[in-house]
Amino acid sequence: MTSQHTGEMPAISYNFAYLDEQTKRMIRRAILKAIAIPGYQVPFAAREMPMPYGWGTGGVQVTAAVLGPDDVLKVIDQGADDTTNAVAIRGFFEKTAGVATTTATTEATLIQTRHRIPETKLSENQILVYQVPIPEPLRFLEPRETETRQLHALEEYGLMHVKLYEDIARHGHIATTYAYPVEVAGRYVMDPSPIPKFDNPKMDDCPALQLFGAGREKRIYAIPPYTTVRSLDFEDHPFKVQRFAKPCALCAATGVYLDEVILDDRGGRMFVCSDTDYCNARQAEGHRGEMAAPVSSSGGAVLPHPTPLPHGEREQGDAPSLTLTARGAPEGAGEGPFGAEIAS
Amino acid sequence: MNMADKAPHPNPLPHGERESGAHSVSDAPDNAMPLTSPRGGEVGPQGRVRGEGAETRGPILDVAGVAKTFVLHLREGARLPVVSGAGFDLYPGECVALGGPSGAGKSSLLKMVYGNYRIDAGHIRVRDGGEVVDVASTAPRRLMKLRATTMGYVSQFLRVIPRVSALDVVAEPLVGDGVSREEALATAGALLARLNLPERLWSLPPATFSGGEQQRVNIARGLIAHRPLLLMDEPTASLDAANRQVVIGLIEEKKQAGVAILGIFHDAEVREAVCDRVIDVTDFARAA
Amino acid sequence: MTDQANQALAAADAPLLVSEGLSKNYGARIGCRDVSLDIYPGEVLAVVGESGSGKSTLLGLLSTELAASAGRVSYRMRDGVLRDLASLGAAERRLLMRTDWGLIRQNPADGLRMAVSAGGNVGERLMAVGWRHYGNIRREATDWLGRVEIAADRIDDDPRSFSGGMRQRLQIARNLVTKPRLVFMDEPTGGLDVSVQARLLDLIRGLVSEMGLAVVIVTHDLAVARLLSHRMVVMRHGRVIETGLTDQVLDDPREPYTQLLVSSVLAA
Repeated sequence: MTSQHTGEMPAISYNFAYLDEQTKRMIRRAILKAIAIPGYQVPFAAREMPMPYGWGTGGVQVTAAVLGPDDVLKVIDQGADDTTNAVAIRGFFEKTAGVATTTATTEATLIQTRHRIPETKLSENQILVYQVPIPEPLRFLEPRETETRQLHALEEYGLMHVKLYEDIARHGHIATTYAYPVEVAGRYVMDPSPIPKFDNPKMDDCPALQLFGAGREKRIYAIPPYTTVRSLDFEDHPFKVQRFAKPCALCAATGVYLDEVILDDRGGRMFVCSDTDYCNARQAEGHRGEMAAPVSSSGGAVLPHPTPLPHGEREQGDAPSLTLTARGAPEGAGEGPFGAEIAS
Repeated sequence: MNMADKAPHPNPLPHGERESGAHSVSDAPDNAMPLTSPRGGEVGPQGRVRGEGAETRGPILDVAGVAKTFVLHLREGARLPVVSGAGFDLYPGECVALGGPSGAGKSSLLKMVYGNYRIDAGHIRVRDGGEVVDVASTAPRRLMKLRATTMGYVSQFLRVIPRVSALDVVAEPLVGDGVSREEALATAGALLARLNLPERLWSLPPATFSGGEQQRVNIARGLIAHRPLLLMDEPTASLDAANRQVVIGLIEEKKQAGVAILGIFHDAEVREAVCDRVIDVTDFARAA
Repeated sequence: MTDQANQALAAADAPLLVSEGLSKNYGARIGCRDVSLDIYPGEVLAVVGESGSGKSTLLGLLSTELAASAGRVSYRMRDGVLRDLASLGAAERRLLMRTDWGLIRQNPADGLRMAVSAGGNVGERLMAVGWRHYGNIRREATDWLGRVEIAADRIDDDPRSFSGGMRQRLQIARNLVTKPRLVFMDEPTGGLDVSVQARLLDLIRGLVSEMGLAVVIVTHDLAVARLLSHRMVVMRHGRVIETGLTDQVLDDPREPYTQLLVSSVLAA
């Protein structure tokens, strides 16, 4: 897939969006079925993709099947457009489909995502494609696929509540913070992929079509536009989203999902928007958080976004206390771009 | 012929493991029990005996043409006849003893009446309210109901139920009849007191009681609820003289209340005190 | 087994479960042949026989875990109508199994969720039938743990930390929490120490009587059958060879095989 510099080898040309047309037809049929049965996991013949499982092969195949030449593609990973995974997938479609790409949520017609739903409300002419590692919400308690299929077929979802019960019994509250199970259109219980439960309400009655692709598990499922999506809970332990004590340290946004960024090994940290596009747009509009640089007269440079901890580590409450370097920090930015001198 | 010595059937379980259910308050029959009672009482020539004080309402128990043979398949199909052509009546308010030497089949016959042993021929009809039930041919469920409401069995041995107190063991049949637990326990306590069972034992499971103490618990359990027909297998075998007198009194009261009693009374004193007549099973055994 | 069991027996004269000509073949081998029997409300039926006699197959057929090669099983639904279980849809049958029926397996690990807390194990059936109030579920689970003599402070421990006897008691609580009318038990005391067995049997006996449960219990242990059951079915080579009240069959066994079974028990 890499470009050739050897000269004698012919340039490799790909079918539009890499997959052959028959494969795309097969995937589209699965998608149509998934849309027709909201929340139901439709098996499909997932192909080997030129990237390892766990890197979004399911989402990539779904995207490839629905992508058109006029689409504008955005790819995000944990809210960021500029992480390795997002960059790689964006590059993949630029190369194989030649489509336009963007980081702006509002400009995109197709958004492939891993672990987040954009903060900006989606619209009817958008499709959100999720990368899904484990599509089966009941897998935690029931390892047999034959049995979980049966449970879905018969709408036996007591087991799902057993998991929530266990959470409350062990932690005093529903400690599941991501991949929080939802009931779709009053029927199927679905794993929303490892998005934070903060994003769950965004799935409900969403104007955009939401598609989910699991490559290793070979499943596709969907939430059609304007579908009721309800997070499971107990009467006396209702579903609640995370709240953050402080606004985004960079753009001062409230009511958005924040990532914790550790600044040093002395306990210094900051909370910033997980959605980089949203944060950058707000900063461009002049919003300033407590640790943001003052508006510069020259160029209005947007402060680069630091790398957050991956969800899994943070949410298990045992995040290693390692200092992460700022992602995308300009060369020679020096030590501690978000240090005290900036904040003060 | 001594049936007991020939082990007429493979006797299954040790006492401790046999537990009673609603269907069976009695211990399992035990043919190995030595019966040394002399024969006594008058026996009719046909083996069909009727007491003089019989009521005109008709018998509560009508045994006719009963035959039973044990077939021991494990011993090349050896056949051990027990009784043949056994027949007699029992009327409300009378107490009748089964007599005959050890091994004559008294215990076996009692168990046939209770339905514990199945019979090869004949009828064992028990009047249950307005209905007559043939123990020999009725459905198991009907027999269960008959035992629960009409036909009680007081055996020699208490079948100990682990972890259940003596008081509860005694009260259980009353509770089963729908009496409140409180009232049943009070009645049970009164009965145990009358039988001179020290009150400190009431709350203990009877497993560790002496033979006499267990038998008194067993008698109390067997007599606490009203059953129009009572079968008693050596109810006083392990009792001292004072307690035998108490049991005689209890049996008299049952008779006064119109209960018909069929029993094996090894003890001559008790037999003479309570029995109106004796049916000698020797003839039934001889016929077999 | 007095108490309400007797009243239930007297009151309900219609069978709860009826099997007719039930057969199951495993290829050429016969698992179970032409078994017809009735189980009435509040009645405990023991199925005895040695390994390979077909008793477990029969239990599987009665509980619809196995599909019959011939014959049928009917069940009197709560509305009083006797229905052929094969005519029920999968959803209806499974609902029946997790509400009106219980199934106690010999190995508690097969009947419990070993990675789920005791409370979750007991609460699962409640959640399955729509309980959605955590506090109520927990209260009910605590109550049931008490009834099976598991200390309330073990409610959040998972069964892996429980002894064999405790696991089996937990399995019983998990099954009885929806107040079923019919419970299938497959060697419930198998593999337990004798003292643990006695306690468990006593517990089962009490609950069966108190709740007026109908029970089909498969056991090779005649003492268990004697303690718990009203009626008994003796199986050999896949067929029922002898039936009757439990004390009849045990005290006056007629068939050669039954006599062999009964005489093979060691007197302690």
